[in-house]
Amino acid sequence: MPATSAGWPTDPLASSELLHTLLAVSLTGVILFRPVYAAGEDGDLVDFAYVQLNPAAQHMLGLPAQPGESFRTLYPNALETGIFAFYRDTFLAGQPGQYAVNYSYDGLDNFFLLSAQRSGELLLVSFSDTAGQHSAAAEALRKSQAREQAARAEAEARRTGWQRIFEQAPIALAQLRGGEFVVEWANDRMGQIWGRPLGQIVGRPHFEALPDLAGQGFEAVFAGVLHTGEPRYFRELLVHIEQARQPYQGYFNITYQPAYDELGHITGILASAVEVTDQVRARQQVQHLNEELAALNEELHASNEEYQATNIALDETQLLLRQLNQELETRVQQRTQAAQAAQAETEYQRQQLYHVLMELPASVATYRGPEHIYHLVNPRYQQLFHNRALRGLPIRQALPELQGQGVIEKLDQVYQTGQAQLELELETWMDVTDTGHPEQRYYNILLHPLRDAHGRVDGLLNFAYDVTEHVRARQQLQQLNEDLHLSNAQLRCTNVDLDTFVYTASHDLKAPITNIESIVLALRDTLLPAGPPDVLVPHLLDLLDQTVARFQLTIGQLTDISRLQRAHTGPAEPVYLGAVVEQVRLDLMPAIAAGGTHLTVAVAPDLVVSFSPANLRSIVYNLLSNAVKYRALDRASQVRVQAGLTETAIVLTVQDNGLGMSEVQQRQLFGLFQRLHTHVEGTGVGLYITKRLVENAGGTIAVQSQPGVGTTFTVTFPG
Amino acid sequence: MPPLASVLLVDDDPTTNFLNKLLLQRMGVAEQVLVAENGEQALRTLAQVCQDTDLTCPRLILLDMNMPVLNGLAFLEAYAQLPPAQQPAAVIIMLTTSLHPIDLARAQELPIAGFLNKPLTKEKVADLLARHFAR
Repeated sequence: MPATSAGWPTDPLASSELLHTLLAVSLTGVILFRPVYAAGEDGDLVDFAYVQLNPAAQHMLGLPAQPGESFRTLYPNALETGIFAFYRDTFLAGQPGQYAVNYSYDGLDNFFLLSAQRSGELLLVSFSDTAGQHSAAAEALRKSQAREQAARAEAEARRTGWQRIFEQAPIALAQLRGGEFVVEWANDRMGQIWGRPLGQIVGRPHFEALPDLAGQGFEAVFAGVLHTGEPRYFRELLVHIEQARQPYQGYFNITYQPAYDELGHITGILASAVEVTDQVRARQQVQHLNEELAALNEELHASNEEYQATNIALDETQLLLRQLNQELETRVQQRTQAAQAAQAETEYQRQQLYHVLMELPASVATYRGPEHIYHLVNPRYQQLFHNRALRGLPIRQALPELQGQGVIEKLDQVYQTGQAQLELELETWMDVTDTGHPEQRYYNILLHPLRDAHGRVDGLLNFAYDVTEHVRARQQLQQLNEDLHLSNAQLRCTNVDLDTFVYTASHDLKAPITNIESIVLALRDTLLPAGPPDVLVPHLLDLLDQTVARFQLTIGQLTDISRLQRAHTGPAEPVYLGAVVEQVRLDLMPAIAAGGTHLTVAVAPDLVVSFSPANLRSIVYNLLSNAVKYRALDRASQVRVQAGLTETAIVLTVQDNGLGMSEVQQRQLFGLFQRLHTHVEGTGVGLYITKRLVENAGGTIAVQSQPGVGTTFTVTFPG
Repeated sequence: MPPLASVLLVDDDPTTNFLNKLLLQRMGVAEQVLVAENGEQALRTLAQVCQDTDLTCPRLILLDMNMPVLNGLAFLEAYAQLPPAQQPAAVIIMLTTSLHPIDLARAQELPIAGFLNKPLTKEKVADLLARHFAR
């Protein structure tokens, strides 16, 4: 700006103040821009940064005085509306410029009149809008631009619609542009005929991209259509194509039409082709036969009389021809039927699948979309919810009681991750009776993602199985088990108490009986040396002795039993059974000799039993001493001990020819305090203890006996 | 066969003590039969009689297992802790009502000469004297 314009103050300070005031009062928007260049030495001017907006500009654009973002950031549409170009060119040219534009993007919708001029390294823009005062011209421009835009959009929509149809059309279509016949566009069918991906062809000159089609005369045809505007039609044109795998020859009905632009100028060619190879080949075959027939006919005409027989051949040939025709027809029919059958089969399979889903003894539902809208619901699934409406409803709306139970979240998870999920015995509260009172139910649930054609999850399959009864039964069983456990523990406690009682009782009884025994001894010593006052005294003392002895034996065995309960078995270790039997035999030698018992032992010396040694000895001792003790007095006593190995166990038998037992006696045999005979000493706990020892170690004991014949005890030790 | 100078009976049952004392006296086993009703009394008795001279110190102690205040086992532990001067060279025999395996096992670790099953009889005493005092 010249420093001394007429009428303007020359004082720089006053000038600056005036300028500020002017900008402040101006009704016109004023913007001061600084150009922004691309990176690099010769960077182009690519954008403008805001230096300052006056209040009018701020108001009209709704911007602050110094916006931080650049012009194109705030107005991305400035490029296509030409505003940016106007600014840039005005700046670069250094000349004032004006530009009128209708801008209805980025929050603005107005007709703007722009005036710009470069000032040093800045660009000054003054503008007015028509927000307050629509001029007729501005309105007209606006309307015309709007109409244009609508028309463009409609044309675009129509174009897109047509393009989709063309792409899917069974007719091969392609558009070629210019004298090079650049392939501008082609549909899939055309790509199939060309025998290579469209990506390799589109955008390239036709005969360069498809060199195999060159030299077949198409060049002249294309040029003719392009220059004359006359369409060309070809019927059953034989075309040679080098397809990707193998050369291909086919017959095509082809149309080449000129393509026009809006002004009616020819811009290229529209090619459309339908392959008729099959039809041509079939007809050629017929034609060929017809020609042969014609030739034959001629010959036949020439020598009709001579070659009557040939007429028959001709008939036959005709017949053959007819048959061939019929066959052809039949084949066509068959093929049609096969195609129909295949279609029917697909439909049948779909029906089957549907039936299976509907009749499955599980509850099946499918959902669509992220809100899990019920789509398919099989009867079983519907039964779960009485008559509640499900189909078409999002699950949150259909089953509001599920809220907060974590179930819908599982659906969400499968939908988001695409990972199928199996939930076993999922606990839910659902209003299965449709009464507004949710019930506790358990389900096994398989959630499986359903995918669209692009592999994106667009739904879920829910495969649910009601296992409530099953879970309840198991819970009951668990409860029963726990009860049993408790009662077992109580019984065990009681057992321990009883044991302790028996032990204490037997122990505490021992002290006084011991003292009684001592008293009898002391009495005897006191009374007898003084000389017998009465003959009855020694006898009574004897009786007292015997009674005390019996009493002590009983207490002793009670103690043994309680000891058995406490100690159970000692640790098992390998023991030579033969050695144990030999020890017992030596211990019992006096009794064996006294009874005149003939004892035979047949136990292999290397036979080993895994058992507590003391307990094993106790068992053998009991059985052997019983066999000797309960001998029959009217015959020579014989006892046989033998042991052997079976597949799973070691079996020890002790056999005698003694008193034997009746069946009733055998049943009582292993009970506590069972004495079956009165003439021999015993308290009847020996076999009880023996049985306990054997069974505690996992073995068995059995008896076979006959009164007056003998008894056999069989002990099985686990192998 | 000179009798032992002194024998100590330790049992909480007065009847047992009376009968055993009677038996030993009749057999003429000892000049003096001392009686204590539990382990603590027995330790006190030992401290008294073994103070001046070794002569009155018991040569044989018959010890019961189950007693109030200080039982047989506790007595033996305390006895083992005594200084050697106060620890008489006595034969200690444990008298029990049962030869329970657990008791037997424990006795292996105790300073005792042996076990005897109650009641005490002439035969058992004679056997004991023959075994431990060569009489």
